[in-house]
Amino acid sequence: MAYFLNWKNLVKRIIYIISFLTLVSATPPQGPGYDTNAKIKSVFIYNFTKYIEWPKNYRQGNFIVGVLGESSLYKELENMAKTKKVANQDIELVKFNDSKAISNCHILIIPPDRSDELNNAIKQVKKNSTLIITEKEGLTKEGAAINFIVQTNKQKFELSKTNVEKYNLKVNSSLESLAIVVN
Amino acid sequence: MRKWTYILLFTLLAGTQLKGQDIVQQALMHLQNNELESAKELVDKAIQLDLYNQKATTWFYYGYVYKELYKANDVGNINSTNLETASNAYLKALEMDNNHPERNNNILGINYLAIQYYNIAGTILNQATFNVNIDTNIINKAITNYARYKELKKISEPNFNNTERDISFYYQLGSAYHLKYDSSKFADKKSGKYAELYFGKVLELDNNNVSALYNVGIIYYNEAVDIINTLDYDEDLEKLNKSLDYSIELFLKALPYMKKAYELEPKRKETIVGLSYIYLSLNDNEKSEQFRKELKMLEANE
Repeated sequence: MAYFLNWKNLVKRIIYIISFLTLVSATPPQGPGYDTNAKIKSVFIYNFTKYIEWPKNYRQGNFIVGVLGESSLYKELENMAKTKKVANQDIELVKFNDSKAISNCHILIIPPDRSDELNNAIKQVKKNSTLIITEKEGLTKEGAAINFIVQTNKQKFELSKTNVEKYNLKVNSSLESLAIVVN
Repeated sequence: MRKWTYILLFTLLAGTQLKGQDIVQQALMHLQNNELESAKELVDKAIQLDLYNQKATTWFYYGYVYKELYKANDVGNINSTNLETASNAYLKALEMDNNHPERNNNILGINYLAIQYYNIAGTILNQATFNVNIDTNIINKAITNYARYKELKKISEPNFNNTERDISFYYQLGSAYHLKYDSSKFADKKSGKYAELYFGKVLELDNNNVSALYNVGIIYYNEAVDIINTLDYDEDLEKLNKSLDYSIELFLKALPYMKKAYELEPKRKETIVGLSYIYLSLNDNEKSEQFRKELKMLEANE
């Protein structure tokens, strides 16, 4: 005897079952949208400031991080500059639109799409103590001190001790142990 | 009281083998007069007495009264004790005598109650999918109610195929925990693990479920991103190295799920975005760019 199966109940039941099933195709709560590489490189860059020693006269005033042109790192570097210091120095971020405009800075970052301006950049900073960081395969051979590379999906960095020391900078041996050392 | 209930009560009264002022018979008469509380008092009394509680039919009537109480007062109440009492009594009646005179009504009653448990589980999960603050104890109630639904359904309809319902249930459970995980900005790792577990159960039942594939991919992706996102700029290089290794492992785990979701539904935008970001995080810029372009083309053709 189907005593509970009146139409009203049946319709109610069907509505419940339908409401249970329709959500199967619901849009998931959150998707991606974050550039992880920018954060990773920024953490590396901040670490470089701990393992590389600048001459005494560079240890006062602001610690200047220069970026040539547009860079995916810029936003992260801005955040780093707001929240961190290098010893007692505030971090100041400077964007150079042109390699000829590069002035004295502690670190100079050359994004991959501006790699062909590396030689010009070197000319601009050759009398300074600037750590040149690039992001394209093979650029330590062209004069970069540190070059970000990717090996089996992983962000790594090459370190050319010669190119670092050319600019009167000293490298802590701990950094060498974590880097791919090239000469 | 409805026509069918009258008919049933008439049948029950006619069918009862008890004589004179039998307590159970009295209870049924009260029920017929829609005096549910009086009927309840009488069956509560009867069930305490050996004269009655040794009979399967008494348990059936006892369950029947509680079912009516549930229908009158508790439909949709996730904490209904009437529902629990009714289902326990119905089960006890069958356990005592699987061929008692009211067996068919007993089975129909169990089926009705099974649907109530199913509906309660569904109601809870519908709320949980949109309410990030829902307590996990409430979500657990959905799990126990659904388990009870399956237990009862197995008795009322042994050949019923629950696969579709299981898929929906696990998917919604996964979604509820995923929502909690996301809204905690990935701090609630436990919810993340539960979301992964329940979407995984969906995939065990339906390995081509695009939404579940996407969600598992996103859970791994978000876990990896969170590791990197929460890195301090000060992070020691050795620790950074370990974090990178683990995040890469997670990005690589996310990839096959997202790829399969894409293969099954190549025009689903969020999957293309997902692939683009996973490849970007794996430093495969070429493939990342390929999916970015594909997304642009898809959007241009909309």
